[in-house]
Amino acid sequence: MFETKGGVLFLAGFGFFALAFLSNAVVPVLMYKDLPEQPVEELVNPRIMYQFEELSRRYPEQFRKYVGEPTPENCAKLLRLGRQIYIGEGCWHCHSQFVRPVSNESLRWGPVAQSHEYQNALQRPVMFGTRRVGPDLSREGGRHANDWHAVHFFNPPVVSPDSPMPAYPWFFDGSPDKPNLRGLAIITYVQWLGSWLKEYPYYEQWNDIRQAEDY
Amino acid sequence: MAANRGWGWSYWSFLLLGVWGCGSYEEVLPIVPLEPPPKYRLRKVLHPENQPVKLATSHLQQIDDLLLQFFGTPAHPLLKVPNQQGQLMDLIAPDRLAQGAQHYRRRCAGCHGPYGDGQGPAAPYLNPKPRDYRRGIFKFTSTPYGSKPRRADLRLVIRRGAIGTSMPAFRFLSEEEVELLIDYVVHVAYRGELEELLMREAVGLAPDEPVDQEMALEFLSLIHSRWQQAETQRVVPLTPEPPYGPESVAKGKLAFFVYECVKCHGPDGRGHTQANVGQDAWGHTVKAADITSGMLHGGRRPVDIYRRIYSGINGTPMPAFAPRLSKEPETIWHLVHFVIALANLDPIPEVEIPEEVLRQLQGSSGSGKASSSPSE
Amino acid sequence: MSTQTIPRGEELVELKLVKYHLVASLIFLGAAMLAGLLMALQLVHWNPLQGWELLSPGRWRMVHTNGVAYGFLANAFLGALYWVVPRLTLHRVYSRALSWFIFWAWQAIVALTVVGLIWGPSWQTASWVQELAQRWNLPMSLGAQGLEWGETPFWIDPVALLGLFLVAVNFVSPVMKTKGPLYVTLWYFLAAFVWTFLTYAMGNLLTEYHLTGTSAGAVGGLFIHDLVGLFVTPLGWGLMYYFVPIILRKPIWSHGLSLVGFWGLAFFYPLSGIHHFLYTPIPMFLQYGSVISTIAVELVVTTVIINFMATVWGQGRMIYTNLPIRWFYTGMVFYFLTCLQCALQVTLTFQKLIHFTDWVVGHAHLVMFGVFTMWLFGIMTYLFPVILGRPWYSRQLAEWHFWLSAAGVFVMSADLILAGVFQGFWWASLQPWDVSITGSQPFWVLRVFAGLAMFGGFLCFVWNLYKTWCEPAPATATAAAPA
Repeated sequence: MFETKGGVLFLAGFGFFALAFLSNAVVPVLMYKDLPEQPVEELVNPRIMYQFEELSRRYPEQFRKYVGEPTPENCAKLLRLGRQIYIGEGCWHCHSQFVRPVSNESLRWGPVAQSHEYQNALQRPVMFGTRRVGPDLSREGGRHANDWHAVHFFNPPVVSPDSPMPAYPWFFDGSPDKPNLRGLAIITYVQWLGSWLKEYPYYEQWNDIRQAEDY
Repeated sequence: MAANRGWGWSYWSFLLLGVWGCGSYEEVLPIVPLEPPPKYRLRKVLHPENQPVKLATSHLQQIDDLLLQFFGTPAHPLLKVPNQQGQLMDLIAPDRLAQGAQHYRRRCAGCHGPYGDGQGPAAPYLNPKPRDYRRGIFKFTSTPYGSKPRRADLRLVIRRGAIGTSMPAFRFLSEEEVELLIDYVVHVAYRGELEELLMREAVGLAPDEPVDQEMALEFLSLIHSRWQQAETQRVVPLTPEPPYGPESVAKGKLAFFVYECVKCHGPDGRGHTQANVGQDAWGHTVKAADITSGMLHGGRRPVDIYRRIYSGINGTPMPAFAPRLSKEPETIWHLVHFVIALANLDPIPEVEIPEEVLRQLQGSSGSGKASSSPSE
Repeated sequence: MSTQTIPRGEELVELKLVKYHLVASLIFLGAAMLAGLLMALQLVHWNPLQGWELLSPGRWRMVHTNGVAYGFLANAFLGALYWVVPRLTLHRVYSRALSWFIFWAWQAIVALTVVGLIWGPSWQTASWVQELAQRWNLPMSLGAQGLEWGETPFWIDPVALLGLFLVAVNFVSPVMKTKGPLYVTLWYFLAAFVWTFLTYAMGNLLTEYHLTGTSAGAVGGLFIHDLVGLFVTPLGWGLMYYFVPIILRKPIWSHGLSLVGFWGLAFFYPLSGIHHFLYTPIPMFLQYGSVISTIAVELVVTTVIINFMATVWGQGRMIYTNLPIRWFYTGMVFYFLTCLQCALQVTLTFQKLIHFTDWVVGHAHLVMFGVFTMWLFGIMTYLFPVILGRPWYSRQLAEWHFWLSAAGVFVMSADLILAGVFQGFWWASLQPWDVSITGSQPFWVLRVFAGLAMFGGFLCFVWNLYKTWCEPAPATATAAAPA
């Protein structure tokens, strides 16, 4: 059996693959079957709507030209598009989206990642990420303002010294105060990350114990 | 091998095609040069009517010389003040300035500019604008309205950032680096304030009357005493914080109407009102914050909000409510709780607003835009 | 005489096909290495091409990984398979026409993948693309899909799957025609055809369209893992079980250990997929399971390494004199190192420190270049003179190829692994983020030069190949190809 075509083909080829699939894929899928995938429209919350409206006031002409009105439907549309850009431009190869319960990560980023945060259409497939050249982004929403993000996407080292992040001038029509559809979408997407948490936007309870009294 | 070469060429032509669409983004938004030119550029002084004033060349030269003698240049900052050296050193350590300037150029100059004038390469694209330290006005302090900040306040803003603005949090900088940055910022502020005072003084001088060192030293000790004073002026809440709850929030909501917060911040706290446009001390148009965004620029701890209400925000139309509210200190806490409820998107209890309050509100909002001036 | 009953290798093998596949693989390897170089230059602020949309390092980084996996490894493996399978089964592959169709189809698939990865994101805002994505509830656009190594644009997936299916048909057919127990190499190959197809389908269809959040993470981990473990590894080891005994002219030391190696790999390897996402919200008992099976894999690997070391025992000088054998055994040493590293890094203790760091990047380069690319270089070093019927143009260049590659990958991996340890400590000690960036610069600069060394070795090889190719064929030489 261990040297025959049938054994190799069916036991090793199909059998062991199926066993691994059962334990590594079917088990977690069954465990989360009661947490259905949330559609994008349900992910639009007041926090991200604020940022979205803020974008529309900050860049009125660009916003009207590329998006129209700052409605929840348009916000959902831009979230979807923003995530596609996040994938297409390879952002997820240098930025993770989960906070581990070890290595002081909750002190740096905020609350540890939980399953229910990922059960939505914008995490299909999940953007856990595998490398952190840049910071984790799962608690990035609200941490920086929209204008900061615009400048940062345009030329990162200006506001983030020594950043090796590539510049993305094609998210703009020539200057950082003119984001185009891609720029507006990626900023909306980044501002959405973490906006569902009650800790938003002060994710980590920063306390300088030595001087807490002094403040 | 022919196949190899063919594929190779198509690869290179593909690369060449990629060249299309190349932009000169670095010209639009350059990175700050490491070595800025040796002179500050403040040449104009803001006259009370916002008119730039022309000064005699001799005065400008004298002021430049004095400043250079006292404070050095951004590339080689120093603190050499005859007679007062010892006093000044309790706020700024001169031997750390050069190092502070280096850290400042790396961390801060992109927005605040290499000269501390808030004119970094990113500044044109940011709103609210990066702070111009030379006016010596700082928004989020723990001191009363119109006062200088304490070192601890600057430390807090660096550590925590101003969430909702483009000022990020430098949470994990080392103690040492933060102190270096504060030293340098205070240094720039001293210099800027002295420059402004001397220029204002020079307006009234005849061209042959010199701007001399004595005058400068006098102003410097004035500036210094203000900064020193601030260290002892920390605003401590008048009463301990009452428990947070619907009752407190409801009272806060009433006070929000009674004390006319609604005029700028709006009844829903979103700031979409007619009166909500003002000018700040730096000449920029500002609007009252949307409290429901959850991003309170000066911090979200109850005591931070308390101080914003009690002491206002320096340089902006947000007034200090200390004069009106020190007699009913509990109300400040109720307002704080209402703000927290708005910021957290907590449910807001229904509150009936008395007729006369609404009538008064309408009356005062009809009386013009004077209400947005900071001189309340 | 056996020559009458047993057909000779040359009669069974379509040499041109082997040649074409190997050359195509080298072209893609060159492109992929340049893409990696671009990303490395970006990290050290030396990228002169910044700000050009179609040269965005983020997009070319995907060309780097996918180019290596589907352009280089797949092509080189196919080339070697066309050489090996007919010789082992004594039957031709299913169809010559199909083989050529697969060749051109596969080049088209890889080329289109590159085009999709580079140009796809530029089309994202086109209204018809957005409508398409919205109507079909697609999580991606024309460009990359959001799964590491599964970035192949969605519109290529069905074609690629069809290609993999045809490859399986083409090679399983001669295997099925044989009688009696199979040789070790064929176990690996047979299983690999099934596994590759299933893995590709699982990663590119299931996670992209059906699975969300944590379960997608689990399956995604399984996909990345299986692509290495069930596509690259079995094909690589299968080739080793063929070429090492052929060149050493003696059988593998222990058939029993071969059995342990294959079945151990088949059983334990796919079980450890989740170890790529430790400390995620994936249930902890699944994470523990993957850790344990990974350590089991390490034990299995040790048996395989022992088996091969015992095979070369007594002929150690061959490693010095015979270039292919040197490539193979250097690769095996790296394989042992990388698996040892894997067994360490997969423990939760190590994960705390090194997850998300360059340690993992170092590990990946050690596996993909230090092991499989080295083996394939060895195979090419062996095959090209036989195919072309003349010796290498220059032994010197071949030596340079070896030493630059071996030293380059060793320096790069050691450098990145060390950088990873530093990065982990910088992060955990709550220093500003940029401390880990500025602190990594010396490591990243060294990595650029290690990469340049590897690329230099590659250029030596290509030049050597070009010169060999252009030399007139020696009139008397008839290459004695091993049957």
